[in-house]
Order: sequence, then structure tokens, then C-alpha cells
Amino acid sequence: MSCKNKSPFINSLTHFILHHQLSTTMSGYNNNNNNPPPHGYGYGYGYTAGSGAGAGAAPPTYAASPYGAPPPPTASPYAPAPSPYGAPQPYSQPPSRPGDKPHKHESAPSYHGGGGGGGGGGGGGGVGGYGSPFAALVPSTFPPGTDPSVVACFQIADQDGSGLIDDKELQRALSSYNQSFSLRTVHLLMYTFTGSNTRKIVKPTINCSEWQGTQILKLGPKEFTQVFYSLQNWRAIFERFDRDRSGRIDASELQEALLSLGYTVSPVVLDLLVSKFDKTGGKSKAIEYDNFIECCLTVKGLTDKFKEKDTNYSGSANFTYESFMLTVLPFLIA
Amino acid sequence: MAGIVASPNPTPFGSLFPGSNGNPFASLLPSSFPPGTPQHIVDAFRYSDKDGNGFIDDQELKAVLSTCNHGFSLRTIHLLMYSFTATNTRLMGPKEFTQMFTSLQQWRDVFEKNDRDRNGKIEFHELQQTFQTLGFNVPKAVLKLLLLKFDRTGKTPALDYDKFIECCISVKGLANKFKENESAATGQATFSYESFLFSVMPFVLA
Repeated sequence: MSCKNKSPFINSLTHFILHHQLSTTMSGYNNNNNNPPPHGYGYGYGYTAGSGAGAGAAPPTYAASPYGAPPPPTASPYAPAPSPYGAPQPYSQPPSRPGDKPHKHESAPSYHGGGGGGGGGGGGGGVGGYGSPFAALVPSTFPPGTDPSVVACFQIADQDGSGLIDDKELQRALSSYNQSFSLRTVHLLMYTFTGSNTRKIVKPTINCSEWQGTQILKLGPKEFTQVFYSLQNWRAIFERFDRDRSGRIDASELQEALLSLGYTVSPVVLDLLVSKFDKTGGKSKAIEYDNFIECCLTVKGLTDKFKEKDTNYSGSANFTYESFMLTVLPFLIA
Repeated sequence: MAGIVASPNPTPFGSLFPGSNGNPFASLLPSSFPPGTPQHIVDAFRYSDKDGNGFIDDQELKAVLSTCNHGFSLRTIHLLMYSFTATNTRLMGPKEFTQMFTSLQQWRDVFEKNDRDRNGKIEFHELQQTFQTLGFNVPKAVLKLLLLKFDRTGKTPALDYDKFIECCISVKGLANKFKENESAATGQATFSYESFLFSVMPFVLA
């Protein structure tokens, strides 16, 4: 797990994340959801009506509360709907749709809560919410007011100077002296935050006899920013629930953590998650930080995909055979 | 290409195992060898069950399937076990083992037949054919995705045997899940959020 690469980036990124976490935890572990966004991020976007367009590119939504769950100050940190289990809606409340008033978020982080950083899209289709009406026309740039540290991190991570970060670069960047991420987690991370946009980067073409061009996941500045803040958010959540500082959270804590992100996961699925991610092969029934991230990504990713099909918020979705396969397979083979 | 488990490593202890060629009461018992189970499968099971508890767990299965030229990732093992036991317990009894064994033989045959250039891998143009032979209807878009994801490296993506099995199980398993929820009228499947997660997670998390 130790990272041998002592690049300055790693230190600065780790330092940045740790430092940020420290300053929030010092103000008390509980009920930190109500903290206003940290300075210097220039968020101020609030909830824009533009959010949720298409693939739910919700950086602005996320931005409004770096802890992901956008409940108003009065909501409990666990925000979601009255009775997530008994509720007729399976995922707490429906998210606000484009054009909905922001107050719809009051009752639940629900979908939007999802780890912050917008669902699959976030793409070039962009959102006007960045403060520039032309943001939607520009492929991927740092939103105005992005913390300079994030920009610096991006630049350091982009070791080949291509302006895009690929999976290996991201893995290197995220791994520190005591934390490593598997390539699979990195792929899931990238897939979640680039979603269908990867096709814009390189168009794959295949003819029968030869493979011409491959579809490679890469992050531009905008996606990187989303990834970055999401990770911070998830890290905060993890720390909040790892009360005994053991570096692991157990099944019930995981359930609460997912709930605070807006996901209602049944005990059966929870059990699956914990069994899969428990590094001790089922003995401790607890998961560590890197697997927690993968867990969040999986739940978020699948839920987002499901939601895309459940346009009525009825809790059930229709799939054709092909769409079903295409929806699920990317997660299998990240 | 060496066979997979078609002929497991011969064990000198074969003669020590009572020659049970299947149990006529199999249908009454939770998991026994069906009548007429070939002896080599029975032997293979017994050989694999290293701790002798009557079940094969994922590590035991991985160890025994990886004895030949093709190594199996733990993920593929998990997929196999889920696929043939329909549970997440990662334990296999004789009946499931027999079914799995037979399927693996079948897949292996198909793999070998379709790997025309004998390079131990199946390329795109071979893959579509292969799936058809196995009876799976895989849309082209899905095939492309599969290949892309399974082999990012090569200029010509191809599946080695382990990945091929993983692929087969995933496709087969997901297709079955789809069918379970399919409406004959529309050809579409309807999932509740819960059933969607529950159907899909075992494959994603294998």
C-alpha cells in the first residue's frame, strides 16, 4: 500500500485533502453538513435550474454543499425522506428536475446527494451554472473560481502534459504513502464522472478484422474537479462514520453513510457490499477507505443509471435487453 | 492448449474413494451427485474438497481450476459460483459442481473451436461467432463494450480463456436476470430499484 513515488504532487494533494479535512473536523464531527462551503472555492452557484439537465451534470448542485447532501441547515445530517424504508418512493425523494425550484431539495439529498459531483454526465453539454453562459460551449475547463490548489493538482497529475488525465495518472496522483487505489476503483471513478462523454474524446471504430482506435477514459479539468471534490466529500463521510478511527466502517455504519449520501440500500444488498469489500474475507465485516470509495461509486453509478430509466420516479424502470446489458456491463468490467 | 478440468490432475488417491457413481436418491437430497455422474467428476470434486467438508469454497475451486495452462482470477471463480449456486455463499456442493464442470467443458470446447489461430485468445471476429454457438444473442454494441473493457491494451483486443469464461458467465447471467423480468408483450424488462440492485450487484461485485 505504500506509494513509492515521492512526487511533489502526492504530497501536495494529500496535504491538501488532509488539511481541508482537518479544518472541518476541528469544528466538530457532528452535523457538519451545515458548514458553508469553504472559502476560496467561489461556489456561490447555489442551485441553478440548469442542473440536472440531461445526464444530471450537477457540479453546481454539488458545489452548493461540498458534503454532497444538499439539505438546508435545518435538516438532520441524515437528510433523506421521512422513512426511507417504508416510503413509497424507493430512493427517498425525487431529485429536482431542470426548472424545479431549489426548495425541492429540502426533503432529501436522495439522488442528488450521490457523492456530489454530478451523475454520469457533467459533460460538454455542461451547465450554465458556472457563471459563464459560454461554459456549455467549452469542452472542459476549470469552472471560474476553482480553488487554485485543484488546478495545481491537475497540472501535476497530468504528467504527460496532454491536458487530460488518464487512469494511470489518476491512480498515481491519488495514491499516497498510506492509501492506494486499485485500477478498478480508478476506472469506476472515471466512468462515473465522464460517463458518456468519453465518446467525445476518442471515437472508437471497429471493423471486423481490425481494431481501430480505442475508447480511453480521460479526465479534463472539469471532470477532474468533480472527482476531486467528490473524493473529499466521501472522505469526510467516511471519517464521520469511522467513529473509533479504526480505518474501517462496518455494515450498519456503511448503511448510514450511504443514507447520508442519499442512497437507501436494503440490508440484503448491504450484505453483498460488505462481503465483497471486506478485506479479511468476511471476518471483520467491515470495509476500509479505498473499498468504501468503490462501494459509493458502485451504488451511485448503478442508481444513477437506474434513475435515467425511471423517468416517472415510480421506483421501477424498463429496459430493453440491449440497454440493460450496456448499462450494467461497464460496472462489471471497470 | 491443455485442457481445463476435463481431466483433472490425476490423483493417486482415486482408488481410495468409494466408487459412488451417483446417488439414486439425489433428487431427495440437497446436493449430491446425480445418478450417472461420470466418475472423473466425482473424483475431481473429492480432490478439490481439500478440507473435506463436503463443499468446495472459492479458494479450493480456484486452486483446482488453475492447475492447467489457464489461471483463473478470483473474480471469475466468484462469478462461476454465483452462476451455478444462485447464492452468494461461495460454496459449491456436488450437484452444482457437476453442472459447472459440464458447462466448463462445453465452454472450453467452444473456445478451442473458435480460437482458429490457436493463439489462446479469442478476438472480436471470433467472439461473435462464439457467442452464437453458445446460444447467446449479444448485440454488437455490447460485444464492442465487452472487448474494449476486457482488453484495453492490445491493438487487437482479445479474450484469454479466463476472461472468456468471465464474459460468458456475465452475459449468460445478466441475460437470465433480464429474462426473469421480461414481459412477453413488450420484450422489455421491468425492475424495481431493489431488484435491479440485487440482480446486478453479484455480477458487479464478484
